[in-house]
Amino acid sequence: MRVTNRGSYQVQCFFCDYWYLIFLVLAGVIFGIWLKANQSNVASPHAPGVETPPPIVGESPYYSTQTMIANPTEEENGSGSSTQSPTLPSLPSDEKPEFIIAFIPIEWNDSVADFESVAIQHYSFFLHESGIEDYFEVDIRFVNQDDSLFAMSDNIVAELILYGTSQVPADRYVGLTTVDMGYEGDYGLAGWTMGDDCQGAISEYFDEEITAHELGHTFGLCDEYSMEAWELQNEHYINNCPNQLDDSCEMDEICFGVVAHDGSNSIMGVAGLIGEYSFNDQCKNALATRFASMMTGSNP
Amino acid sequence: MKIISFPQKITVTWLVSIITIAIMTILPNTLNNPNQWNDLDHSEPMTQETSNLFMDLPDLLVVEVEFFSESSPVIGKISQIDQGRLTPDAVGEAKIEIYDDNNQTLYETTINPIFVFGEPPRLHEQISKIVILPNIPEAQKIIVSYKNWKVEKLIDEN
Repeated sequence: MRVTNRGSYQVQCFFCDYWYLIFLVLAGVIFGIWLKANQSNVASPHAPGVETPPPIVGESPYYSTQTMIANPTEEENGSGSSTQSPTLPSLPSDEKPEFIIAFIPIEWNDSVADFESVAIQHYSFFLHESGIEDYFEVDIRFVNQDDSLFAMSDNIVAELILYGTSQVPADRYVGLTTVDMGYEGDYGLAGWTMGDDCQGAISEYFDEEITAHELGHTFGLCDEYSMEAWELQNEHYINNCPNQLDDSCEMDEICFGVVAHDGSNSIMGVAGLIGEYSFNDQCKNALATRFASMMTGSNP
Repeated sequence: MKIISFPQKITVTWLVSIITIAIMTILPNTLNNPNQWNDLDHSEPMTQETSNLFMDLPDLLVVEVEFFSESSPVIGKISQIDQGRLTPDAVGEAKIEIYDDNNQTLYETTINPIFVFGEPPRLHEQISKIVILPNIPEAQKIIVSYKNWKVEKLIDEN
């Protein structure tokens, strides 16, 4: 009994004398959790012995305008309440990963200010139509022109990705050009990419739908303007074609593409039609599925 | 009244202080950076699923790979960049692996060379792919496997 009483007394006395130390430990744990909650968006260095490159200041080859850009409203865009909600749930803003789209002028024969203005227009259109902001915090960056890149080069997409990666970290690189990319007799060509999962695309400046169309390919969407094109992509794209042709589409004919439920033209369909363009419901759902899977690194 | 002596009290205070400082230092870093490749457990290769995706990362490798529909791929130039991003690709036929001196896989990912591209799309025989990989200090060589072909290149071979 005495021993038990003595032990109990010792424990009581320990807490009386050292309560502040326990408080200190708890404060440390709470502080650690608080730090975690407030630093979750900070990228960290990785390889041992490798110093994090200093932040680029002054003559930066790129810069972000995220705070400058207001996403177009539905009224401004003219599409009304045309979009169907993606089938997958979106995340709260503070849990979204960052997705960066970098724009590169290729043989740009106008001012830098005009380039940036056009790039923002194309970027905003894609953001609004694709629904990518439901899954990512999207940012735009601009890259300075490299005079050694030519829009008509056979390997321009790979070249602009290489150049882009040397200048600015990004998840997609979009070249914009004032050059008419249509070969002689091929006036329909206004942009191209290297297909599903390609990190780059190039498009002519004059139409924001061109960039959205090419970026759509990089996320696995197929062409709806031609049965031959669609069937070729359906055979070779890893997940086949998630978007279908319109019912009236036939071989050796130009097809319009499946219209969105508000009647607007399909971005993956033929260009140059009268009226608004948007990703139709199948495209939107396919994009939503792709974005959601990319977030986990398990791109299907 | 006091059962613990003064030297014991000093020792306990010192120990608890050290433990507290250690917790405050280690805990935030552990919680923030669960996937840093500097703390790799090399018993399992890192994959793109376990990498830091969608953030600017320092010190990466840019690898140019030419894929051919009917012949072995060719690993082109390997260059280092100060900053970049690991953007996930679709799970594909071609496997890219980074090996160390002991032929142990440090990192692996897959890409999908699709020979259909262009507007309108055509079937090509060759496609250039740009692959971004982590620049792991222990890395010795890169191996690209595609169909029945397997090619390798030393990272310092440029």
